[in-house]
Amino acid sequence: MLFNSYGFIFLFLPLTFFIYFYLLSKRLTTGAKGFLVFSSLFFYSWWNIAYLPLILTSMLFNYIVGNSLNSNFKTIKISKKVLLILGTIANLSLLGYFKYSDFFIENFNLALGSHIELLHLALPLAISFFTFQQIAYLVDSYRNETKEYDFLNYALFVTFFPQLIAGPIVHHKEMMPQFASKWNAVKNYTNITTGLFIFSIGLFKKVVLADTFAIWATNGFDKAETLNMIEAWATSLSYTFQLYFDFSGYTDMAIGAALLFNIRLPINFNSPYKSLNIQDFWRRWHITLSRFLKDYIYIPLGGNRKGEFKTYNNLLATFLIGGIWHGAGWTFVFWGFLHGMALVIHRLYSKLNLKIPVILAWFITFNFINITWVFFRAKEFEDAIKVLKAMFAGDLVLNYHWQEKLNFLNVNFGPWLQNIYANNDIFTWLVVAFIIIFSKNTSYYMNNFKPSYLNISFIVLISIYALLDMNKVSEFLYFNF
Amino acid sequence: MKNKRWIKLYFIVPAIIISMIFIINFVVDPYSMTVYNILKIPNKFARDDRVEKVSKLKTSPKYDNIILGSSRVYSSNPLMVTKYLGGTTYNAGVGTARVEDHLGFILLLAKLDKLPKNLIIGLDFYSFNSELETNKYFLKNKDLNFLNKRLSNESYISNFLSIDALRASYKTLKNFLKSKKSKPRFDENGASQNASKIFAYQPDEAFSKAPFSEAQIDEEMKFIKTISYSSISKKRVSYLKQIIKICAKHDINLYLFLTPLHGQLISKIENDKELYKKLRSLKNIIKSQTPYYDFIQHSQINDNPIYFNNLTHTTPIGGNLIYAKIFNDKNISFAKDFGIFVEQDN
Repeated sequence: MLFNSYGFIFLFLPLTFFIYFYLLSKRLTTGAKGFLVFSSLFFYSWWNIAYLPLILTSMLFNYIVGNSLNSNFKTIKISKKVLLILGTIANLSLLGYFKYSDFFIENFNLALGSHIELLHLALPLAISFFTFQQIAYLVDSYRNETKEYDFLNYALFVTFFPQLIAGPIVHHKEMMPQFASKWNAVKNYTNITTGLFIFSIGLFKKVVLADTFAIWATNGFDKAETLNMIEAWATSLSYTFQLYFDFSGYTDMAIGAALLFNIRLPINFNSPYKSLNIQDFWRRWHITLSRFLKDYIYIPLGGNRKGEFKTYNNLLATFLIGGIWHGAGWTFVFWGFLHGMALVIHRLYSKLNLKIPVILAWFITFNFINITWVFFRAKEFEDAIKVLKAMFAGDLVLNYHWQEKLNFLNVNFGPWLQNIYANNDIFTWLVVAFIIIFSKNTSYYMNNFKPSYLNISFIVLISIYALLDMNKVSEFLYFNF
Repeated sequence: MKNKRWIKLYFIVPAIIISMIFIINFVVDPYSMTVYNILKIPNKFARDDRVEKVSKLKTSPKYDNIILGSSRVYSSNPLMVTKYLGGTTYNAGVGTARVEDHLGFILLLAKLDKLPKNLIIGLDFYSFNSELETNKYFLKNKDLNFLNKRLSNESYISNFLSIDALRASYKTLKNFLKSKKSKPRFDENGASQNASKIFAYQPDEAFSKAPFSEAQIDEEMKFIKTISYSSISKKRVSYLKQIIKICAKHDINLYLFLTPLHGQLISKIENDKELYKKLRSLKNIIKSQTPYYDFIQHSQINDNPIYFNNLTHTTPIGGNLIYAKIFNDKNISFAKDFGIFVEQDN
């Protein structure tokens, strides 16, 4: 079930909300939580019920291992470290089997000239997210940083539907106390207004902005055989905005929906395209993934504690893992490598204490991100090279309507956006996108939202627009990761 | 403002506005999604050709000749077929028809026990594109849809809850209020553009037309390659085979032809290596199944814009020339090179 579907908006969400609080009003706390877990699993199964046993088994396994790792359990006979390694391997194996089998087989076949058939497994929805979440839980249990949570709260932590499919990647420390708190068992109208406001903004971002840019990005990357320079830039920028509005739109809807249940999910985006350097970008983009990579990969590798060279190595390794986490393909690895290298260069550069003008810093950072997204998006290196080559060495073609006025320019005139099936509207949308990325973000509204006639008028307007534009329902990009 | 008031407004205002939009779109029903037509609007913004033609076939007596095809076919004169073959003819061409539409009509005619003696089918090159989805009006037409695939409920609802539908409702209502007695889309023989009244083979001598522009050619190429013409649809080839089988089984004379494209577009396709490969491949596939008439060839007619409304649609006169060729009218000597009869041996 998608957040941007009529089924979710008009049936699932309101029904779950009312039944949950009805049960709580009758002091049936356990029943209410059980109902929320059931609803979340129903939400998950809507996509494909075949994978329901998978998430249930994974949840049960990690709960048992996590509790065994907790120092309060004295009954286990193997060392805690061995148990942690086994638990982590089990999680990674599950992820590896479903997500990376074909990637390994393909490369194995390529290297050894063998012909092992690909498995063509469907990637179970949310597997990357719930695996990471649960590995973090195991590591923290090993470090004695978890408490003895009951299974229902644990199940809710893993399956809570707003964050189940595509994050934010939540941490048990920030979620479990909220599920256990009695203060959260009553309807909170401040949370409801804020939640509805943020949910509606997310819906608009996804349905109106991301899905509009998606058409041009898909045409440019997947369908066009050749691109001129303007088409190539329009393609890359379209994807840059599609990805941001799609993922941050999803996250906003998740945050908004969770707030209705009095659960505050962590902020995942903090205006990332305002970043002035690459380090700044990773503090603002997919914040919960960056946090996970830092806490559970970069720091255990040694972080910056073992000298400069080792720090650079650790940074690069962390980003290579981040790259492959996003998808089983060399383009993702290369994207991770580019970002890792950029962080290393930024670190080296920072030592020189040189100051770059703010606008130039933003321009360089934004363009670096825009260019590297090309590798992230492209299905094959060839597609990425097609777009990049056209961005920097493509023919400059201008609209043939301008030929009379601009004939003095030594460029070609013709159908200038036809390969991406676009018209001049694309420029209006790009301007709108730039305005939005510099506007106040969800994080601001989460903390400063006050109901007013102005914001209700605004939200009603964009909600109606989004609802009327939902006839082109599409999946969220991060469902694939 | 208090939170509770804000929440009330959040739900009530959109609910009222959206309900109103739904009601307007449902009552006007610009895409003919329902069978009701509450306002009895004869010509809707996006009328459903399939509903109209299916209803005509159901209510009319059995025709001797049936023409099937897309908009490239429905503007041809069915009475020309009557002129050559005798009997009664109905042009059952519908907009953006794919091969599944043709098969759907034939299966329906079989079910109604109204299979004709002669079946003339115009096939479009673009419609064999495997990336091209089945037409949604075909999917929602219970009489034609033999695939048992349905539009999802969500896409059904979204047709009443979309900005496009609202815009279409507005245009439909505006047209309806302006001229309640506007002419129907198709005449009683199923032809559009007054084609049933046009029997000429040549336009007025004075009539001339400039070549099509590069922009028009690019636009049509974009249409043919919708998404990308990655391969010939195997499914659609199998539907074609089914049609041929049904015709053989019921002794129906099948006249198959590839609908004409204008010469400028043919040249453009010839220069597109991949697309040209697909065109040749399609021609070979059809040839291997049944003889047919190939009108995607350079000729005096194909290369002359006066016989074309646009690069892929002939005028009714162009349509007359197609029938003259198929039915071997020896009086039409000036169009000799228009269309080639193709069978396995040549």
